Amino acid sequence: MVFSDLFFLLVFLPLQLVTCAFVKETPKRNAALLCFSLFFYAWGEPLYVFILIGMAFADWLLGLVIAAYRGKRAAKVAMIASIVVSLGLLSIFKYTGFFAENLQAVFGVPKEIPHIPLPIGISFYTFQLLTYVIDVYRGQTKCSLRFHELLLYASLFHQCIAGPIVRYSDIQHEILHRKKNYTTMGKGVQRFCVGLAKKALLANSCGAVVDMILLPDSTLADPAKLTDNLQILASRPILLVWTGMLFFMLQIYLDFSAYSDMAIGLGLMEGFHYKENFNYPYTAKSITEFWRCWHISLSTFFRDYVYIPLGGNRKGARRTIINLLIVWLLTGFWHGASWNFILWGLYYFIFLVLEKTYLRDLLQRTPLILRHAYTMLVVFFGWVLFRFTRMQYVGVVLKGLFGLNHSGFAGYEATTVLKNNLFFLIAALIAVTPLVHNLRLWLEEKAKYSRRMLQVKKVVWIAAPIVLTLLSILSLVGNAYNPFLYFQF
Amino acid sequence: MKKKKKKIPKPLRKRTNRAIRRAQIRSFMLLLVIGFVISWLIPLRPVRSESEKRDLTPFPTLTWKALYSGSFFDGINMWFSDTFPFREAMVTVNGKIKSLYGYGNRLYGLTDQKADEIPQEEHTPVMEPITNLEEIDETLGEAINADNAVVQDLGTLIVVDDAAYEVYNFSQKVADTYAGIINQAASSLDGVAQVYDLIVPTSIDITMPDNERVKCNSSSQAEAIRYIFSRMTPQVHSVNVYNILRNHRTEYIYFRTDHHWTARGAFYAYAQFCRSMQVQPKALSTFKEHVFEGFKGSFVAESHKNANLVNHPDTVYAYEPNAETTLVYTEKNGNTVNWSVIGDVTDWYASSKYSAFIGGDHPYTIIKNPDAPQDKKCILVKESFGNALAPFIAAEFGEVHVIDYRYWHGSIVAFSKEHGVDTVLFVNNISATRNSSLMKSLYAVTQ
Repeated sequence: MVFSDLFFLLVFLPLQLVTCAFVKETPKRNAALLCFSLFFYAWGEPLYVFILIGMAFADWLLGLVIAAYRGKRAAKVAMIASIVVSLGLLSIFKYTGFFAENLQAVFGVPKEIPHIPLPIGISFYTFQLLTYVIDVYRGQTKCSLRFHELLLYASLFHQCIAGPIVRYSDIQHEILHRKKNYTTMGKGVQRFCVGLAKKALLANSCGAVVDMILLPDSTLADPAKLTDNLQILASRPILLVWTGMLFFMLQIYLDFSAYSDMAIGLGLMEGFHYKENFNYPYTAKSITEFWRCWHISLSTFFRDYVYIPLGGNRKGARRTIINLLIVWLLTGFWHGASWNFILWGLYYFIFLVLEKTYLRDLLQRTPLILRHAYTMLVVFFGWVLFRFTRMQYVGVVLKGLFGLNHSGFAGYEATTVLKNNLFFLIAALIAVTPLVHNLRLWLEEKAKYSRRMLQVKKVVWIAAPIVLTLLSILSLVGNAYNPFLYFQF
Repeated sequence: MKKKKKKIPKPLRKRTNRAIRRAQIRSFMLLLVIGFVISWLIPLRPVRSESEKRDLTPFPTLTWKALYSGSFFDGINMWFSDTFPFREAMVTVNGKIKSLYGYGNRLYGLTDQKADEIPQEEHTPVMEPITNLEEIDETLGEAINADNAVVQDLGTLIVVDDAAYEVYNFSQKVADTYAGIINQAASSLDGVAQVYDLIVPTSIDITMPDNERVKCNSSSQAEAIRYIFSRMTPQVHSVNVYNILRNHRTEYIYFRTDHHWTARGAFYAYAQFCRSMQVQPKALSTFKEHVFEGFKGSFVAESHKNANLVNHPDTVYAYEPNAETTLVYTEKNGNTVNWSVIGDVTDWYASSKYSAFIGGDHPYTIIKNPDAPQDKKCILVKESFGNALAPFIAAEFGEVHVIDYRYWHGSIVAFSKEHGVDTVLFVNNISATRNSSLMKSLYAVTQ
């Protein structure tokens, strides 16, 4: 189940909200929330839900050991054991196939490549539990004495399956002492509706254009269709390939940030405050800045739990670069078990190192608009590596972007697709900028001084979430399948 | 110095803001609860979409395997959104919203591969015999599923104003296979029946405005038809209807919301067929006319209910011979049904009105006309384009055996001998001649 399933929206969510509205005491509400969360997870993974529970149980025990033996060797052993178990399970489920495939390609063994289905959200909840164990070890957070509280943290349906990667220390206090009031709940509703509309109205429509031009993932993944797919992709004229990739660039941001919006909104409805996961990354003026604004919970995770423990930038220039390399290889590999993601990580590593060294002065002297253009171009080409897991497709699309497939510049299809989606494209471009956000702040400010504006605010604030939800429901009916892109990681 | 503006008193602002938040929560909850209630009004859930011509996702069956693999729950999600109460109305409204996304002609489904060049030089007939089905599989790739063959793959669609057009991409391999199959049928029927072949062009090359047509990447159907006929042996009488349809292009000869031709378009093809049989065609006015309004054809669903198409439905004008004709069709399950050449579809679904012609697509249909020469018997081998043509053919033959090769099992050669058929007419729309799975079905009935 994902947040954009009608079943979630019209069955799970009302049941959960109504139940929690009637349960006043926090511990009881937690129990209800835990039941709903486990149900939510089991709905997608009826068997693997036990991995989630088992992992949380192991980390709960190890957390107790760490707290009991603080400063002693046993604490360190317990922490290492937890890391080994968590990353070991993640590796088995996520990377076995990849390593087997590459070993087979080089050495001819193993004969059979195992196909292990990936438990939903394992990449996210593994990292969440890691933050818990490591933070307990570091003494930055208290260990959880009650298992069900830790399990609630790990399985909370708001963020369990697609992030943001919420740290235990961020919500530890709120698990037992959160306040629910009209303001946070209203804000939560507002945020959730915005996220829903971003997903159902904008991201899904972008996805339809992308799939039409660059073929859907299911078609690309079919090895029997490889030749046909390459031929179709090669037949697209330059303008069409650029259009397709532009819509993908919009789609991935809108889709993923929509999920985070919805998670944050759901959290607020229950009195949890999760940190922001995006900060308008497509307005960034350097790659460094882009990564400060994109999937913030993941980059800060790697910063705090990999980069800094490795020594960060405190051990000289060479070690800094090696540390960055490790972080970006891992970031790439975390996104998926295939070479394109590793290359995608390396690609950003190169630009980040360049920006720290050769490009630093140059960038400072460059006008803002050019810096922004440079950043967007780098990100744009990065998404080519990201979308296609087969390198043959990456190759043919890159060639297509530069006209090396000799399929012409524009053509009727390209101009028609652009015209058909022109107003939508403008709306989607506005949605990736802070324009609407600033408009909201402006209206809020005006409403402090004028009664009329206060009334305008009232109407907009009340009507907008409802209108957005209604429009989203309309677009989700009859649309049987609309997974989130980040759902697969 | 700028005068500092006076703020609204804090208590009022606070009160209003609280009221806003309360209203937000209440209206959101109300919406969810209403949605919850509606979604469980099970009798309101549709099981079939007539406009999309498909059964909607059924509620999944509960098995142990489905339960622990999670596919049971996925199935519930699918069922839940696919069969939502009032789905058709909601999908229609959503189509209207989508029409605001941009402007100009609309394009749907950019799935086609590059078309083959149509060879210009003179050609010799395809003589290589197609020996068995496996060979077709090999030459054409692609596994064939009997159900898939039924649904016409519409490929890329272009909507200009209130009319949609299907892009056609020539495929030399499939076109050659088609010619080969017809050649082989003609050779097997030598001395039994005369074989005619009629390729129906689609609207994009006939009625699409020229200024739009020049912009599209769609193979020339005039050239494709000329090429395919050049690959046929002299035993096959080719009936080229391209020019006559072009001459009447300003008339209502193709539907705007559906991929078929209208009966009027089929009438001109009938006239051309008569000429190649050296028979005088009857005038359209000698046929009995029926009118059915409000036809929303296949392009409506294919374009996800494009608002221009939805708002401007077609009208079906149907014609039948002025005679005491009888029609019996055999369904896929073997049942026979007495029907009429033109059925009354006034109360049928808007998407099903093309079924006015000979009761729609059935494996086998026989039409008898007591007023036509009783010794003249014809087999009409067709996919759905043939339906609109069949009533006119019935004016010329005492018996017309309509065979839909996609569903019928048997041998046309044996059937012709058994029933004393003297004329075999293949009517295939041009899109069928690029569809390898249809070729397999056609091959099967010509053995």
